[in-house]
This record gives sequence, structure tokens and C-alpha cells, in this order.
Amino acid sequence: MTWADGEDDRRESLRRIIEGLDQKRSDIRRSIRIFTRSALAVVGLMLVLSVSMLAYLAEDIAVEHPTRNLQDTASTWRIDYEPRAAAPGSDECRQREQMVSLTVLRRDDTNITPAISADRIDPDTKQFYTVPLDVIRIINVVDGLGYTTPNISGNKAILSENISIYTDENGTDYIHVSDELLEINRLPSVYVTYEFDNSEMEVWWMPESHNICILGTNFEGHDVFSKILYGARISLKIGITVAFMTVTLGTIIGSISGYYGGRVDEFIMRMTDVFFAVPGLILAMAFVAVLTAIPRLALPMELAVLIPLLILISLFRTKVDEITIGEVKAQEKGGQSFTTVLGIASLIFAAFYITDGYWPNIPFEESAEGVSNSDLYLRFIILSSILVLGFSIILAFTKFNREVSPKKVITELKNSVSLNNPFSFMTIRTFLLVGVIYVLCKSLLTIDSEWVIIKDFDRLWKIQVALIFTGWPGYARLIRGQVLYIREMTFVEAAKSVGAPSSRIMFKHILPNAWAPLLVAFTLDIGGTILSAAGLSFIGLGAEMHSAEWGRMVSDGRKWFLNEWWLVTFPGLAIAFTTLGFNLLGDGLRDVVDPRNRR
Amino acid sequence: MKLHEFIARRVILLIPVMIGVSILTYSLLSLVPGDAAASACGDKCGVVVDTALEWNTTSEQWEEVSISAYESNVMRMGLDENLLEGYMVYVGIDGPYVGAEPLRLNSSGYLVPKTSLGEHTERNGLIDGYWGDSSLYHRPVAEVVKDFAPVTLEMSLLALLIAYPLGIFLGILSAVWQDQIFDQLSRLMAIAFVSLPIFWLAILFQKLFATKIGICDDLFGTSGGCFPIFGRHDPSVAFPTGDDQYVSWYPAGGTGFHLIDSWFVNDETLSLMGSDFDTRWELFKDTLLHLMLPCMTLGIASAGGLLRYMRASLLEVLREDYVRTARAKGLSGYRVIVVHACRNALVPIVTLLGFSIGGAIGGAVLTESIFAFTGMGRIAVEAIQYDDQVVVMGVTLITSVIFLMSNLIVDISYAIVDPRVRLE
Repeated sequence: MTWADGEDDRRESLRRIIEGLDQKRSDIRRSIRIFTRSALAVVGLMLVLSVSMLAYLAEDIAVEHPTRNLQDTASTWRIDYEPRAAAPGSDECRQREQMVSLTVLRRDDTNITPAISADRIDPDTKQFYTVPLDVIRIINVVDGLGYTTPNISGNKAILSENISIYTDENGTDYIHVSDELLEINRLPSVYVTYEFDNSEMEVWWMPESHNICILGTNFEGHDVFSKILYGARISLKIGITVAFMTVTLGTIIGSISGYYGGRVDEFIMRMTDVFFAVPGLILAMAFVAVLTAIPRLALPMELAVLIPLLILISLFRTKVDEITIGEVKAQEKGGQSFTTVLGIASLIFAAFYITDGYWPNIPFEESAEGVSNSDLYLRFIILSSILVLGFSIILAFTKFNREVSPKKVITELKNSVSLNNPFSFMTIRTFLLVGVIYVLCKSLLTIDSEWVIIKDFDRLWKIQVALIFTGWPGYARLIRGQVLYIREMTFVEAAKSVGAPSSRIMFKHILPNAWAPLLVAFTLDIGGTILSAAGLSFIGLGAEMHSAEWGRMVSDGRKWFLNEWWLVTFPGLAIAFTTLGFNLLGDGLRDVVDPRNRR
Repeated sequence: MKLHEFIARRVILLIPVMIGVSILTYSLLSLVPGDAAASACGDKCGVVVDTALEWNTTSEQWEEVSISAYESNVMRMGLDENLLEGYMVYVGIDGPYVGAEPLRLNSSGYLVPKTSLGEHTERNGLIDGYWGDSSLYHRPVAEVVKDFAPVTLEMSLLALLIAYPLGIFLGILSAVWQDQIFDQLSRLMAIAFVSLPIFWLAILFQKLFATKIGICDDLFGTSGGCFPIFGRHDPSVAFPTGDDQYVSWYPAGGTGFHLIDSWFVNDETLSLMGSDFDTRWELFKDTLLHLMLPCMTLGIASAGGLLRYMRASLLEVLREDYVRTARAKGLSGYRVIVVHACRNALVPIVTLLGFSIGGAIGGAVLTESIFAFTGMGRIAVEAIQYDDQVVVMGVTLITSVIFLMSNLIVDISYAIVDPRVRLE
């Protein structure tokens, strides 16, 4: 057989590849056609894209760093000790109110003090620093009580007439206070409001010498526009993270439920019933309540070792079988591996988790220091016997559900312990193996060793975790329905009949065909999550005060909504538009993947 | 299946769910690090409250010792027991199980209460109406929840009264004029309603309808807006005596729904009110007016989803044969839609009622603080901030009970209306 002999075959396969590509291309084209048929969907896509772009480019577009917040480490931010909420586009954004301490001037015997910016913070050293400002003109001068003519000791000096700007030969601007004012000894300080050249604070996309606050500032002196931009980062991050994690969790649980059916299915569905029995937001609050008390998210090291181990075992179970006992036999037995492993894993975790720390206080050579070595061995012995007993019961009730005879149970038990039986190494021996590893980990590792999952487990992370735990049942049901539907299709039957293991059927055949409604739900869920997260932040459970989170911004600005309307309106609009974008996009996608639209 | 069988089945199916919810709240509570016993007794943990027998290991006999409030709490809450027994104590299947084996409270020795050596003490758990003690309010959680749940519930139910007519009406119009401009607009509106952050909407509504700079003064000639801006009552109703002392003007054992309670106010209390509120009708009107703004907000947020469902449902029905028959008979379009199609299209919408209540409660929790209503949401948030998780779990439990009950009622009424359901 030479290379040339296969010419026809190669041509044929090439033709098929091209045909497949053509098919894909026309599929995509049709999808785009269906999608663009609805103007709203396109609007949604545009909204989502623009919000994402703004979030991505926030550092370049934003006028200033909004404030130190939880998600973004600060580059520079300002502390303005005399902040005033400036209306959108007003001149006040270019003005600064600087306190001039006359007491200090008198002490130093000088008339001038430099015009400097508010305190800024150096990103590297975390030290305060100020920069000199170019003063254009003085707007207003008041004393500490807000009077322009303080009338102290009968001296009715008009403050603004006694303050001027003095520029030295280097071009640095100073505030000059007249001698007359310095002589009024009972006047401690004046507040000078001046317009300054803020060209260094302007960003590239704004017209020259334009106001820097297009959406106004709040009472902390933070630029609302910048805060909204950075808030987009937080919201999108929360939305996508939570939706993704929820989808993953829901898909895993739902596909197990749908594929294996029976008692597993029943159990999982009852669990989702429980989660559905509480409105989502209330349940999320319950989770937040618990998580508030938890300073950081960490797993005990023994679990951290066990979980990957079990995942590895479950993933390579078929492969190991193939190597040890040959492919055909492995495929015969392969169908059971996935459930077995998962069942065993959850049983082991439950057993260890529930019993650990709750052992009966049997006075077994207990020393004054607490747990002695003998106690440890005792625990191990008790645990193993419980596991063996429990497993034998499970064996009796599951494997021989139809024809239970004591003889068969005993044979099967013998088989599962027997080292000669390659099929059984996931059964009792696994229990023992995992138990031994657990005990070894527990005794070898130092007591407090933990696997830290989220180091900085702040309140934003807490609401994310809460939303993930609240959201998975919806996906689990969705996926279960899909799997139940696809499981009955002919190609799955074909895969089963050639002996494909269930994990392969699940990942290669069923899930790729179930993604369409998942995608729609995912998109809609991002919007919903952004809304819920903002809501939780609004009632004070999420982001910290004054952080650049949209819900928190609405909450912070709520006090002043009558006059300083921009503090509430713009963050709310940002939430609304982002959520609207994702919802419209999801609706458009639904039109695309809905079978009724496929021709 | 007969109707009573169906009802029995539904009620029985609720039991595992309720058990599941209690397991959920119990496991959440047991996840809370820190000492629940210590937080329950606060700064009085050292106070001696009881005596107990202690096993003295050196003399090998029981000795009477005093136990502090803290130790008593540990036993009463079942904190010294394992998860399963703790759950039993929590639910109220078992009393705290003390004395069968020596209880280890610290490394120094064992404590056994004198009163109930080797026996279960009296059970007192969820099913007995004891939901734990709130360290924030210094009251049993059940009482706290009972006081505040009606506030949220009243708001949510009234919101649905607004949402349903609005959603159904717009949905019908949308379906009738399918793919026309009104339909497109109302569909966009529906998505927009769902997308709007409800707390933001609430603030905007306050500004629009309850302030001088809102639209009401220009349109209707009112002064200071159409509706009161926040609160459950006019200040002169809540504080009729004028000082800061809140006077509860509802008879003891009132429902907590002020719309109902206002009709049962004593004459004596009524005479305390100012001249503006000297009749029960005035009180009712005042309560209703104060509820309008929150309910409008919640109602609009819920109406979006209902609109879409109604539209889809009616479009489905309009394709049915009997609608075509009705048209073929020459009935007017109005009659076909209202009498023939809407009746059937409404059935699936009504089943959404249970879910809508859940959604409305969730929304109410967010908007309560804006309208200065002290309901479940506010107490839950406060409890979270003060590490009083028991109250939050109480709120979770009562919400789930409300939610499940409303779903049950909806299911049963659905089965009465549509007997086909019972066959499933």
C-alpha cells in the first residue's frame, strides 16, 4: 500500500471536511440572519459590547481613579477634604477650595502659601503627596463659617479683596494674603475657592479645557463618571463569574441527575425543590448571613488532597481499567464507574465531615492534652468498620436489588475485597485507601494547614458565593430536562451499544447537544446576577461604603436624591442598561437556538 | 384522581421540602463559626443559673456544681451534640439530649444537669414554634418574624394586585396586535421592567410622585406629590400623642396587615388620633396611600414578566382550532378574544401567582428601607450586620412557608378549575 493508493480516500475525506465547514458556515450565517432580524437583539449586543469595552478601557477613559475599592488596587486616588457634590458639567469641577491657615502664616511670618492639590496617594509608597496647581482666577473666599465679610472685632474686611494670586519667577502660583487680613488675629483660616488649570487631569478623549466631571461628583469628591466605569468592571466580573460558576455547578449536578435517573435523580430533584422553596434573594441573604461570619474561604488540607485525588480517579478510571483488564471488559464495566466514584466520594466526605469532631467522648486513654494517639487509631478503626458495614448494606440494596440472596451478597463482598478482582478496586478498597490517605494527611500535616481558596474573602466575594449557591438548581433542572430528552435519542443508544463509557457519552454526545438553552440561560443569568448583586450591595450586604459598585453608589447617593439627582440616576442607568443589554442579547440568542426557528 | 386525593398528595409532597428547608437552615447555622451559646447570653455568660452534677475523676463520685448561663446554653441548644442530634433538637423531634453519657464541656471534667439525668429534656424546636432566640432583639425569633412578616407580605400581595391587571391587560393588547408597533414597544417595556433595578425605580418614583419637584404637582395640583413619600402611616397616626412614644393602635392579636387591622381599631384609640383620622375609613385610606408607592414599584417590576407570559400564552391559544371556529361562526373579534381565548390563556398565568409572590417578596426586601417600612428585609439585613444569623434563618423559614403555601393554594385551585391536572 503506497501513498498514491490512498489518493481517493484522501480526496474523499478532504471533500467531507470542506462540506462540513460549508455546513457550519451556512449554519452560522443563518444564525446571524435570525439574530439580526430582531433589532432589539442587535441593540442588546451593542450594549453588552460597549459596556464591556468601557470596563476594559476604564483606566484609559476614566478621569481619575474612583476611590480605593475592593476589586481594583489603587493606582492613584485623591482625598479631597473639602468635597462638594458638583453637578454634571458644571464649572465647579475645575475649582478647588483650599484652606489657608492664617495662623500658620502668622507663625511663619509670611504672606504666601502655595496653591496645591488635595492629597494624592502614591501607588508605590502609599504616601500622601500634593502637586502645585496653576491658578487661573479666584472665585470666592469665605471664612470658616461661610461668611465673605466675617466682621470680626468690628473689622468688616471683605475677604476676597485681601486675597490675591502671586506667581514667582519659576511660575509657581501662591496664594497671597494681605497684611490687613493677617492682623485680624481672631480669624484662624480662610477658604479660598479658585479655578485651576486642570489640563493634566484631562483625558485624551475629551475636548480641550472641557470640564472633567461629565456626570458630576459626589460628596466625597469622587468623579461619578469614573466610578461608573470602574463599577462596570466589578459588575461584569461578578455577573460573568457567578453565571459561569452557576452554569458549571448546575450542569454537573443536572447531568448526573438526568443521566443516571433513579434515586440519584430523585435526591437531586428534591434538593432543587428545597432551593426553589425559598425566593432567591432571601436565600442569598441567608448564605450571606453565614458567610459574613467567615473571615476567609479555605479547605482543610486533607480535603484539598482528597478532592483532586478523587477527581483524578474518577476521570482515569476507564483508562486504568483498559490498561489492566483490556478494553472490552473495561467498557462492559465502565458504565458504573462514574456513579460509583461520585457516590463513594460524597459518602466519604459526608462520613468524615459529619463525624469529625463529633466522636463520642469515650474515655479511651485520654490524656489531659486532648486527643491521644490511641484515640486516633480508635477513630480510624471505628470509621473503617462503619464504612465497611455501610457499604455492604449499600451493595446489598443496589447491586442486587432484584434478586437478593445472602450468598450473592457474600460473594460480591468477597470479590470487592479480593485483590485479584480488577473491577472492585473502586469499592471497599477505595474506601480503605482514601481513608488511609485522609488519616495520613490529618496526622502528617500540621493541624492548621489549609488550602486557601479565596484569600481576600471580602463582602463582594461573599455575595458571589451566595449567588452561586442559590443559582445552581435552575440550571440543574434545565440540564436534566435536556439530558432526559437527548438520552432517548438514537445516537446515544448507538454509543451505548458500542460500549462507550458513560462519562464519554455524557461529555461527547449529550452535553454538546444540550448547550443551546444553556447559553440562553447563561446570558440572561448574567443580567439577573448583576441586578441581584447590585441589590445586595444596595441594602448594604455587598460592596463597602463609597466603593465603585453601582448598587452601592445608588445607596450612597440616596440621601441626596432630591437635589443631587445625578448621584442616584447615573449608576442606576448603568445597571439598567447593562442588564437590559444582557436580557436583549439573551432573547435574541433564544430566537437563534429555538428549534422553531431552525429550518 | 379525586380532588381530595390530589390535595392530600400535594400536602404530603410538601413535607420532604419543609424538612429539606429546615436541614438547609440548620446546616447553614451550624456552619457559622463562633459560639452561638456565647452570643445568646451576651455579657451575662458568667451568671450562675443552675446546678448540675459533675463527675469528679479523683474521688470518683458525683459532685454538685453550679453551671453558668453559657454552659446552660450549650446544653439547651444541643451544641454539645453531633450534627444529627443537633438537628433533632433544632427541629424539635428530640429535646436536648443530656446525661446519657457524660457531657464534655471543657477539658477539666464532665457536666450533667441534675434535673434530667439520662433523659431527654422537654423538646422545644421549630415545630413547637421555638425558632431560637435573637441576640439583637432579645426576643424569640418566631415573635420577631411574626411582627415583621406581615409588613412585607402586605406590600407584596398588594403589589401583585397591581401587577396582574397591568401585565394581563398589556399582554392581551400585545398579543392581539402581534408584531405591530404597540407589541414591539410593550415587549421592550417588559424586558426593560425586568432589567430595571427595583431599588433605583423606587427612588425615582419617590422623586416623581411624592415630592414638590415631581410631576404630580403640575398635573394634579397636589401639594408635595400624590402619595406620601415614606412610612407606613402619617406621623400623627403612628404617634398620636405627639411625643416619641409609638402607640400601637391595633387591638392585641391583630393580623399585622394594617389594611385589615385599621377596620378593627378601638373607639378609644380612635379618639386619640388627630381630627384628620377620626374614622376607620380615614385610617384605612392613610394606610393604603402609604402603600401605593411601594406597591407601584413592585407591581411594575413584576408586571414585565407577566406581560410576556400572557402574550405567549394568548398567542398559543389564538392558534387553537376552537378560536378559529369561534371566528368562523362570525363572532366579533372582541368576543373571541375576551370570552374564548383569554379565559384559557389566563389559566397558566394564574399558576405563576405562587412564583410571583416569591419575586415580589424578594423585591420588597430590597425596597423596604427606601420606603421606611420595617419588614423582613430590613430586620434580616440588620441581623446580618449584627451577626444574628438565627433571625435570618427565621426569615428564610417563614418566606419558604409562605411561598410553599401560596403555591399549594394555587395548585389546588388550578386542579379545581382544570380537572386535567389531577390526572398527572
